Amino acid sequence: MDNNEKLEKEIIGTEDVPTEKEEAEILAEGVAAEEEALLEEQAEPCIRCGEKESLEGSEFCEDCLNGMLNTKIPLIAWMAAAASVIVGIVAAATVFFLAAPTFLGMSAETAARDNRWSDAYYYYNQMDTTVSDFQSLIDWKEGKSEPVLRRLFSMGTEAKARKIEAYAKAYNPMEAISKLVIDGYTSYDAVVENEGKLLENKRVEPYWELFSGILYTEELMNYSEEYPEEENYENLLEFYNLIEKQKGADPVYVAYMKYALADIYDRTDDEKIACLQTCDKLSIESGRDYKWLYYYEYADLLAKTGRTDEAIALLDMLASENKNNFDAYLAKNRILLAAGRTDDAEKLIEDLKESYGNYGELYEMEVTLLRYKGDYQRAKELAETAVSENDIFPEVRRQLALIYLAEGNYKNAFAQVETAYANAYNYYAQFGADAPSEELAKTYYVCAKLYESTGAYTQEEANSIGMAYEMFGEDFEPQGDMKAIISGEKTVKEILTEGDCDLI
Amino acid sequence: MRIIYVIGKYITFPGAFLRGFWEHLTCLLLGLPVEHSGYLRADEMCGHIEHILPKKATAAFVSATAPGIMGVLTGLPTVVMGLANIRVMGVTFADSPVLFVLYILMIYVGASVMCCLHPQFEVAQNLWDITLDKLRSGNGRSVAGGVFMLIPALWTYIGAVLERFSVPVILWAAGTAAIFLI
Repeated sequence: MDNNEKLEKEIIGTEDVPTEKEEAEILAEGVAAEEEALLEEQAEPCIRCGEKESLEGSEFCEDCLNGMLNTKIPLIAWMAAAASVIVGIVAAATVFFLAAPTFLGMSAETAARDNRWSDAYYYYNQMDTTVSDFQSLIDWKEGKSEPVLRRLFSMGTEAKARKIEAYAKAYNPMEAISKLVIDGYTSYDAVVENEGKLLENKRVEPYWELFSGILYTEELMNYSEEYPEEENYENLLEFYNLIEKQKGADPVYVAYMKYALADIYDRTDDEKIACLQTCDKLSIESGRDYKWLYYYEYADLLAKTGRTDEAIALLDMLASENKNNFDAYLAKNRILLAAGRTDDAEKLIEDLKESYGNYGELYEMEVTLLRYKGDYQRAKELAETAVSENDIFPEVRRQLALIYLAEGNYKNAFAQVETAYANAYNYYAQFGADAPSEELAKTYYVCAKLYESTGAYTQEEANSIGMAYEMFGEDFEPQGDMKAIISGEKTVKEILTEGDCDLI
Repeated sequence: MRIIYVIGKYITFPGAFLRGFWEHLTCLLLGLPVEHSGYLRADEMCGHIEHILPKKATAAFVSATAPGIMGVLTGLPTVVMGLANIRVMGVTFADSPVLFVLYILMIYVGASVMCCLHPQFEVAQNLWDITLDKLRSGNGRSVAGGVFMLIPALWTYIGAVLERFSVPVILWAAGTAAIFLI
């Protein structure tokens, strides 16, 4: 042992270091021990049956493993899965075809939630059309049982009821029932028999009751033996008072008829307002909504008597209940302009533009505003843009006719109003809107008279002028502003720049 | 928690049963030993079958996701058809009692299937672990596989955790109620 080996022993304190041969022996013993341990492990019993030895690398014996790999799926599970797959395929195909009406229905509901009832009705109508188009592809003769496929693609009572509700809230409950429920039936009993489910629906029932009540009241008025022999305001008013007391008569409708009577017999505005105030009071008491019946006339009367703010409040209420009630916006615009509140009218138009963009009736409002402000050039340009984009709104053309009238261009004015009149009839036929308005009729007449006075018209135009007069009848006598223009008491420019600035 | 899970599965028993079937079929196709094949049991295996956890990524991925995919393919159109007809197309009992009941059943069965889309927690955990191993492996192909599996694995894992507390049942019940109430 040399000095180094001695030093190593002193520091490490070990005995003899094993030789290479000894190291190999130790390693071999270790491997053998590990193999033995592994064998002992493999020999462990199957954890499932606990009897047979488990297979190498597995916790299960051969029998258990085979059993686990070949477990049987119960027949009922196969049947249930097959049924679910078949139903899934049929459902997927149905959903594919139902997607369009479903999205339209969802859009309608969103619009209804947002109080945009005109939009809601539009979407429900589209939904109905889509479903009907699809159904028309499936052969079916009435009287025979309806094919399953047709029934799978049909609009149910609830959706039909929502459509009626949307129409009633957007336009008019009476029309909703007459147009969407009873149209095509020849008798009241037939309606009740065939549309019973729909009429009992909680959405439709109030409108049906309203409709029936008003219809009954009209029958009482038309067929009563108490009807006065001599028709005058006092006698008819007394007759209406009698009708009001009859069982089943609609008191709000009778009150409205009293207003109509006052209007026909040219009673004072205060008397008319009193009638409509009674309407309002009775309407609130009844708990039903009759705003569609008298609010526009009420607002016009209030505006006419200088109570502009009250009139605007009524129209705002109508607009809040149906956010796309453009009839209310148009009336508000007209009342604001007549009151000289052009800034308010401008703000109204800007607010609406933000929500709807440039829309047909908005063009109409803006053109009217510009004309009121005397900006004929811009009004004309805007009206021409509106007409070139969509020529279904007769009022835009009437405004254009008024501009030409103010400029003294009677030829163009007559041409515009003639087209407006024709469009109004087409619009009525297509969308069921009101027939040509009173102001359109008046404008038509004035344009015809003024153009005729120039003598510079063709034979074809002469026929058109003749047709315009025919519509008013031989006995027609122009009144108010019409008379003033035709007789030369006032110029067109005076009429169109003062007061209402229109032929209303 | 086990009682909540079992109640949830029993409420949605059509979905739980079908889920068990699809799991069973997937295991047989993948050659995974099935220890217990009862689909509706009163324990945490309700709506599932007991099988050996696969060690291979493909088998782990397929066994964890395929039954759920089958559930979506069959359950979703079923529930949508029922909801669309009753809620939007407005079909009522008065219109056609047979169709109305059929649509109600479709909503129930479809929603049940949609409540039972996820595997048992251990299967989801196994897939998640395998996905993480692949992502950490450093091998290009493995990492790519891990990336592909990541979102489904995470979705499966979260879904399995939520199903332990019957959260999908509560969400579907609340959602369906909301659809009818709004």
